[in-house]
Amino acid sequence: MIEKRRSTVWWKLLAAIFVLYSLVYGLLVDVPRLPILHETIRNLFYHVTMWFTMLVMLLISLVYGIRFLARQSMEDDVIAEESARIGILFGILGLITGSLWAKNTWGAWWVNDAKLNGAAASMLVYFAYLLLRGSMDDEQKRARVSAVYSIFAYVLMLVFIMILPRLTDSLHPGNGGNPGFSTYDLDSKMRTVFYPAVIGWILTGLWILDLRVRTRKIERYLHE
Amino acid sequence: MRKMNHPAASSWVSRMRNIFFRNKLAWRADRLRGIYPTPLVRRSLGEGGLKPILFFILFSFQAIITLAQDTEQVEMADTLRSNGKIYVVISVIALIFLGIIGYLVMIDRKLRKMEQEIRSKQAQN
Repeated sequence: MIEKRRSTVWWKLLAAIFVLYSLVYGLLVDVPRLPILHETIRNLFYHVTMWFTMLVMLLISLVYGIRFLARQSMEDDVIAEESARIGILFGILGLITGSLWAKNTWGAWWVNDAKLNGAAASMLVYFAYLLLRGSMDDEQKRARVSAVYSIFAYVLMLVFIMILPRLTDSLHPGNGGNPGFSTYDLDSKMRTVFYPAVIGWILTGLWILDLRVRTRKIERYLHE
Repeated sequence: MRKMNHPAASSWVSRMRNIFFRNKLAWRADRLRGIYPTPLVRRSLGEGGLKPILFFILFSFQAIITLAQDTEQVEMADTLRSNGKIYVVISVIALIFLGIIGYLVMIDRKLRKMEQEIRSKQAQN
């Protein structure tokens, strides 16, 4: 059933404006002049925002998975699956951008580091979520099992990328005794680009989610 | 709030108080109650009497350490910015991004059209 929707264009425009702003001013804003990092400190606006967007998308997947378990409505399951896919997309982008950054600053595409391995492990956990979904034909069963799995997957992801790296030695900024970028950004100039960038990319992720969910609804209508 | 002038304080003391004891509301309240501070006795080192000097030494350490970093020597892309070529980079990136946004908008419009078609079909039935 395709209901009429209120106009939802304003936040999509905002997404485009914020990300464009971060792309332009991310290269123009004054940044701290730090050894080793040099200009790559601007990756704060691009690499870190990918991970924030992934966290939000996977949180949406978790929430709608739980909603499905409560309400047994297939629409919730569609949103849960699509937002998980988009979260995985942003996670992969975060891994790739992080790897490029690591090659430039640390000299290696990958290091045996708590945060990096944890991020890769979280992505594997969510790949397994997709495999799990693909292995079941019955709609209801698939939705139920993957909703439960996504609860564990989300908690595991938080542990792998937020908790464990802070407990052990890590090369990654913000973990293992290293300062995060907020200690360098003393005049908060980078924050004027970073906050809009995060919001813009999250809204862009939501836009892509909106498009995919609408596509799925139309497909379902056509195949009924 | 104007600088507080305690009747019993010397000018050096009142200046030091403005640095280290800025709770002027408490001052005013005290004065209204008839409580005036006794003249400050310069306390011995152990009781924190030379606090201003300690602060000065500590802050100068921090300033000296900051000076030790050669922030001008860290290589950055200043050339790219000074000869304006950074704007070429920005234009390229912005163009690619606007292309992607255009693609999303196109998909959005197609979906909206399909949804309208479906709604009209459902209204007919």
